[in-house]
Order: sequence, then structure tokens, then C-alpha cells
Amino acid sequence: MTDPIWSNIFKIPGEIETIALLKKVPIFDLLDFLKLRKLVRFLHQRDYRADEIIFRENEPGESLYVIKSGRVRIFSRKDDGTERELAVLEAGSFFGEVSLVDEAPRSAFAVATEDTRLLGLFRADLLRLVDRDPRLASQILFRLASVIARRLRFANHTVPRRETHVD
Amino acid sequence: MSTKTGPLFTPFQKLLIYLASFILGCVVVSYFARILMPFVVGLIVAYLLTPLVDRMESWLGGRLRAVALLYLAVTAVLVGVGSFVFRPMVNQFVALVRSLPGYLNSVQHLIVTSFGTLEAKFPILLEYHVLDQLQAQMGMVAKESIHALPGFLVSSMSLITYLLLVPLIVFLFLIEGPELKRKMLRLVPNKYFEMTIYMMYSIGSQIGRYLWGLIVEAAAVAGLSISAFFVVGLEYPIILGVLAGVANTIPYVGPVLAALPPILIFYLKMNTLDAVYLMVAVVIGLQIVDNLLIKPFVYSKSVDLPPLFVIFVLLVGGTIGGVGGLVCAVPIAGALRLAVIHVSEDIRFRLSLNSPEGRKIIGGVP
Repeated sequence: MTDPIWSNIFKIPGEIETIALLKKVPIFDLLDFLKLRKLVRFLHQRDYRADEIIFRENEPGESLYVIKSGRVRIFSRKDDGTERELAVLEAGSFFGEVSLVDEAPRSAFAVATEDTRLLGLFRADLLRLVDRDPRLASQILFRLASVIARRLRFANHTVPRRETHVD
Repeated sequence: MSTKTGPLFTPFQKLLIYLASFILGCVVVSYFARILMPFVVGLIVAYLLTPLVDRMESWLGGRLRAVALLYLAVTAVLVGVGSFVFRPMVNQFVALVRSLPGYLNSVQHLIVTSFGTLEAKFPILLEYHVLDQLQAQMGMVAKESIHALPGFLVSSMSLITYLLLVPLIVFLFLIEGPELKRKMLRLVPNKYFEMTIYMMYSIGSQIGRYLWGLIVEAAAVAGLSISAFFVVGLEYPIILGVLAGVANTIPYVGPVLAALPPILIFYLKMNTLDAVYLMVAVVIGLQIVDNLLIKPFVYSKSVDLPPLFVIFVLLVGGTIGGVGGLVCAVPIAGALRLAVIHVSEDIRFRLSLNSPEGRKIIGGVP
């Protein structure tokens, strides 16, 4: 049982859980407790039912999502209608981060496979953060660039190279 | 493979939608204008102060502390400025309102003299009593305008209500605003959430820039006008300069409305045409400085509305909300336009999913 005298009964349990979750996300892992607490106020918690679409391919994209609970399936659809599964993400994972900096449409579908709770960081809120707390915003943007660069390097290693013949 | 269709609405349909939404909004607002106006004013002031409060919150580590400090600072500035500016301004306003009937008589005398000269040159005007009827009409309009002027300026809400209610509303919006916004956003379905966030941001950015631009421009024009009126020796320079600054925020008609009182009052004081020429030159000079120097630096984007629509919007805004309505009408219309654009783009995307190409993409996903 929690000791009412010694334990911190003034902290909001949900907020602590969220901060602990964000600490595990590579984009936010270098932020301290106070900065994460500030960041939480810019996040939007959204609940999705099983099989509910989070976003569709070619839809305008504006946000990064962190999975607080549940599971999300990422897939793309070919011209013949068949699906190509790209990833199945669980609690603690994140997706959609490229749309924070890129205005291109979404490149895949994201669907909740069970009741899922997501934390969304939207580009509009990130731009507001740039204005209100430039130091925090620049730390997030730097880590975001680092994550995207790492994904690009990984893609370079795994995508088979095509040889071209020059006549 | 593209799933995009053509434009959802033709330009004419878009114009009809803007008009319909604006008229509907005005009908609703006009019913509740008396109750809503302090909240609208409070919301606008809170919106403009929110970026500053957010920064202060990050320095001070608490929103209540930030708002309290801001209120202390604003009170100190108002008390300091009030004793130098507000009192003479209020005194001049009262004196000007008291002098208006006298000015009206002088203008009537001027009109009678001018019309007499015209009738002597063109006897046909005397035969058909054209100028007598015109003079009677002008007299009626001038009397009604003067009687309606104080009510127009304060838009049928007492000044005390504004002075007491608005600071309280601003305080509450500043403290509770972010959480209130999050609670309202929770009501938006997931399907429309991203669009809503983006729409709120783009409307907010545009309105924020426009309003700050208006305030800076009004202050700059008021300052320049007061200085110019002092230099030429015009009576009531502070109140006429402030009126010039406020009136200048109204597109198209504002500068003209702002120019008439100084020209008239200066002419009646000096009683020469040279006075008119001088005051016209001063007013034109102020407009040149405003349009060539102040506006380009202050405004980064306009609300991008057709001029005819702006005039219509101003007529509606002035009828509903007086001076406040004239100032707010254009940014509100701009916000509605952005809302229609975002919603129609979202609808277009969703309709594109019903096209044959779209169905291939979404397949059996619910």
C-alpha cells in the first residue's frame, strides 16, 4: 500500500505513465522530466476501436503517433488490391514521424488491430512549440532528424540495389 | 496512380457557400450579440496574449504565475499611461461631443451660403426647390448621425460592463484556455481530428497575424496623426488622432471616414479654403506613409478576400457590432473562408475514396 506521508500523492498517475512511455521513444529519450512534462501538454490522446483506421494511404498527414496501449498494423495496398504488411507495432512504438516535417501524403495505411490508445503530436503543435519554447522544439527536431536519418541508412542497407547498364 | 478528382466546388459555388455561412453566422451572432460581445472581445484579447503567456509560463514554471505577472504589468502600464493619455483623451472626447451641435450649425450655415451662390448662378434650381429639399435631407441625416454616434461607438453595451467583464473573461481564458481547447478537441471524431487541428492552426495563424498587424498599424497611424494634428494646430488632436488610427483599420472606407472630421473642424476654425488644402495634404501624407511604410512591414499576409465581398462583410459587421463589428468582420470572414477550404479538401479526399481507383486502394478495410 502506498504510504500517504512519504509517497508523492500530488503527481497525476496518468501523466507519470505517459512521461515514462515518452522516455522510451527515441525522439524524446534525451529530454528531462520537466521538458517531457511540458511536451505532454502538446500531445493529444486518441482512442481507436479494433479495426478502426488511423490514417489511409495518400491522406494528408500532419502527425506522429506513439502507441500508449494496443496494437497498430501498418500496410500498403498494391494496384491489384493485395495488401503488403509493413509492420505491426505495439505499445511504446511510434509511427508517422516523417509527416511532421514533410507535407507529402501518407505512404501507407495504419489500422488499430485491437482497442488502442495513441498519443499524437501534430505539426501545428510542434510549430507552436517552436514559437513558445524554441529550445525544447529544437531538441525534438534534432532527434527527429536523427531518427529519420537512421531509417534512411537502414533502408539503404536492406533495399536491394539494381544494376544499370549504360550503352 | 492518382485518386484525386477535380475541384469539389466551382468558384461560384464556393462564393455561395462563403456567403451562406457568413450570413448564417451573422444571423446567429446578431441575436446574441449583446451577450456574446464581451466574450468575443475577451477571446480575441486572450488569443493575442496567449503566446506571451506561454513563454512566461515556461520561464516562471506556472501558468497562474505568468498570468498574474502579466496583469500586474498591464495594470502598471495602464495607470502610468492613463494619467498622461487617457484623461486628456476623455476630456477631448467629451468636449468634441458637446461641440458637435455647434459644428453642425456652422456646416448648415456654410451649406446655405453655398447653395445661395449656386441658386444665383442657376435659377432653375430655385424654381424647383432642389437645393431646399437636399438641404433638408442633409440636415436630417446629420442630426440622426450625431445622435447615433455615441451608441455606434460603444455598440449598445455599457462601457462599465466592458471594463469589468472583459478583464475577467480574459483572465479565465488565459488560465483555462489550453485545457478548454483540449477538452473541446476530444469531442471531435478521430476521422476529422487531423483536419480540425490543421484548420484551427491555419485560421489562428492568419487571424493572429492580421489582428496584431491591425493593432500595430492603428497605433502607428494614431501616433503620427496626433503629432501632425498638434503641429498644424488642430483642435482635439488626441481624440481625432486616436479616431484616425482606429478608423484606419477599416478597409476602404476607414481612411475616408477618418479624414472628414479633421478637415471639417479645421476649416470651421480657420474659415479659409487654405485650411482645407492643408488638412487634406496632411491626411494624404499620413495615408502615403501608412501604405508605403507601415502596411508592408506590418502585414505578412492578407485574408485574401475579393474587395466587393469585403465591402459586403463590412456592411454586415457594422450593422451587427458597430465599430467593433467593422474591425472584426474581415478577419472573421477570412477565418470562415479558410474553414470552408479545409473542410472541402477533406470532403474531396473522402469522396475520392469512392472513385474506382479509390476503392482499389481501400478495398475491404472498414
